[in-house]
Amino acid sequence: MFDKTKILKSVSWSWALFIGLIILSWTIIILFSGENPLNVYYCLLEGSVGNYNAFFSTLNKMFVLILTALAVSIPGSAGMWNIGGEGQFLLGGFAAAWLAIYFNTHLAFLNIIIVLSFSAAAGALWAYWPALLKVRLKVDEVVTTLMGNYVIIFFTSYLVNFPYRASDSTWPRTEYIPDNFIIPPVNNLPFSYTFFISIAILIFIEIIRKKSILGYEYSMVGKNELFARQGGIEVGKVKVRSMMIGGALAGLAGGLMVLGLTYKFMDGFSPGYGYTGLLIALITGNLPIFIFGIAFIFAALQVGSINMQLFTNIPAEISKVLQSVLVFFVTAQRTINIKIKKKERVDNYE
Amino acid sequence: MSDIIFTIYISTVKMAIPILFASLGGLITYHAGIINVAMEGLMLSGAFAAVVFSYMYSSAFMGILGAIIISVLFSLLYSFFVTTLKANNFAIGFALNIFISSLTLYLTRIMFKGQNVFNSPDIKAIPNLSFDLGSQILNNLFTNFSILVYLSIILIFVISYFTFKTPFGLWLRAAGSRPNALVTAGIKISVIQYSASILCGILCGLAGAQLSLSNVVLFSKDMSGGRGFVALAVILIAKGKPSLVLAISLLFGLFDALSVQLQSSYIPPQFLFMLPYLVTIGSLVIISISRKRNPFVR
Repeated sequence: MFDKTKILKSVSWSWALFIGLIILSWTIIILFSGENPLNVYYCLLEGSVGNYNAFFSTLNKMFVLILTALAVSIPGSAGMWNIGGEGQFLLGGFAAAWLAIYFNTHLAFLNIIIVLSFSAAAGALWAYWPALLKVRLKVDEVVTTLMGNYVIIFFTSYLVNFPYRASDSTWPRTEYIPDNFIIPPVNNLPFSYTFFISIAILIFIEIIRKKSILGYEYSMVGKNELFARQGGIEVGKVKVRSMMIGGALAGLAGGLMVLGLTYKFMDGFSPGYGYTGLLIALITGNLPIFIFGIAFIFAALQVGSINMQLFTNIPAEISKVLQSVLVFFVTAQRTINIKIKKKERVDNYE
Repeated sequence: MSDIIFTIYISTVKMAIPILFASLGGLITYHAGIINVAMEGLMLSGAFAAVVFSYMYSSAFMGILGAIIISVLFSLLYSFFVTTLKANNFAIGFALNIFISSLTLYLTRIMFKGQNVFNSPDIKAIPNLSFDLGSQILNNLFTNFSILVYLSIILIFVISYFTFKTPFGLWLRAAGSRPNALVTAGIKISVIQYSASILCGILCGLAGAQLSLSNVVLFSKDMSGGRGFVALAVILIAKGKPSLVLAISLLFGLFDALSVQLQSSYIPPQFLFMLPYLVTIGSLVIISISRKRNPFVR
C-alpha cells in the first residue's frame, strides 16, 4: 500500500530539512568568526555568480575539480581508492612546465597536445606503482597513494627550489612557459578553453561508462570482484588500468593548470586540489554525471570565498570547511535513503 | 659523535610517541572491525585543542584534557557515520580529515590572527618527568621525557591485557572477526564499536597533545603531517599486535628524527623530509613480500 501524494510530500519535506540543516551548520561555523552570516552569504554569492566576471572565474576553476574528481571516481568504480590525486596533479603540472620550457615544436597546437600527453603520462606513472603493489602484493593502496603525495610534494618543491628555479624569482618557481604553449582565454574573459576540454572528457567518460563493454567491466569489478573473475575478466588488469586512467586525469589537470592558468610551476602549486577532487568524488558516489554540478558548487565556494575575504575578516580557507560539511550531510542522506528503500522493499514484500 | 647519536635517540622517542598513541587507538578499532582512516584528523584536532586549552587555562593538564575531549567528540561523529549510518568508513574518514584540517586552519586564523601558525609564551608545555635511576647513563636514557611518554609505555601493557585477556577484549575482537557470534551472545555490536571509538579518540587526543605541547609548543597547519596514516601502516604491519606496534613505531620515529637531525648543506632538505614516507611505503612492501613468501608466519 502506498499513497503517492504522501510520499511526494515526505520527499520534499526531507529535502527542505536536508538543505536547511546544511545552511544551519554553515551558519554556525560562520558565527565563530563574529561576522554577520547574511553578509557573508551575500559576499560568497556576489563573488562567485554575482556578475559575468565572477561567473566565468567560477567556471574557470571547474576544470581542475572535474578532472581531480574523475581521478578518484574512475578507480573508485573499479574498487580502488586513489588518494594520490594531489601528487599526480603536482607531478603532471611540473612535467608540463618542464617540457614546455625545454622543448618547442613552434606549432602551438602540436605543442599543447604533446605537453598535455606528457603530463597525463607522468600522472599515470605515479598511479601505476601503488596499483601494481595492491594487485600483486595486496599492499593497501590508501596508505601508499597518500604517502606518495608527501613524497611528490617534497620532490617538486626540491625541483623548483634548486635545479629548475628561475633566477629572477623571489618565490621558488620555474621560468614562464613560451607563448606558443599557452591555452588562451575565451574572448578575453577570465575563462579559458581548459573548461571545454574538461567537459569533453567528462562526457566522453560518461558515454564509455554507460555504453561500452569496458565501462561494464569496471563496474562489475567494483561491485562484485568474485563474479567478475568468474566471468573471465582479468580483475588485476582492470584495477591497475583504472588507477592509471585516474592518475592520467589528475596529471592532465596539472598540465592544463600550467598551460591555461599559471603559465609556470611554483612551490605551493596546489592548495589541495587533489583532496578537493576526493571530496567531490565522495559526494557524487562515483557517478560522473553529478560531478559537473558539485564541481560548480565547490568552485563557486572557492571563488566566492576569495571575494568574501576582501570584505569580511573571514579567511578564504572557510570554503573547504563548508565543502566538507556538505560531504557529511550528503553521505548521511544517502545512507539513510538506502536504509529507507530497503525497509520499503521489505514492507512491500510482506 | 655520541652527542649526535644521543640527540637522535631523544628525538626518535619523541617522534615515535604520537605514532605509538595513534596506532594503539587504531588497533582497538581495528580489532572491532573498523579500519580507522580518521586518525590523522583526530590527532590534528587533538593537537589544536591541546594548544587552545593550554593557552586559555595556562595549564598543560587542561591542554591534554581538551585534546582528549575534542578528539573523542570527532571520533564519535566518525562512529555515528560508520556504525549507525553504515556509511563507507574510508569515505567518511577522509571527509573528516579534510574537515578537521581546514577547520583548525580557519579557527587558527580567526581566533589568533595568525597566518598558519599559532604560538605564544602563554601556551604551557607538558612537563618532563625526571627521577633518579642511580646512574648517569640510565638517567640520560630513561628520564626527562614528557609524562605522556611514560603513559604510552604503560598503555601498551594495559591495552594488550585489555584486548586479549578481558571479556570486553573478547567481545571487541568478536565484533571484528565473528560479528554473528556476538549477536548470538546478545551483545550489541554498535555498543562495542562506539566504546572502541571513544578509546581511539582518547588515544589520538593524547597523540595530538604530545605533538603540539611537547615535541614543539605551537600549533601549525596540518602539523600531524600524515602521521595518522603512518599509524595505520603500523597497525597493518603489526596485524593488531600491541607488542609489535611499539617496535614499528620506534622505527618510524627514528626516520622522522633522522629527517630533522641529518640536515646539512650536502643533502637538500626536501629529500630528508621524504624519508619517513618512503620508509613507510618500503616497510609495507617488504612485509607484504615476506607474508606472500611464507603465508604461515604472521
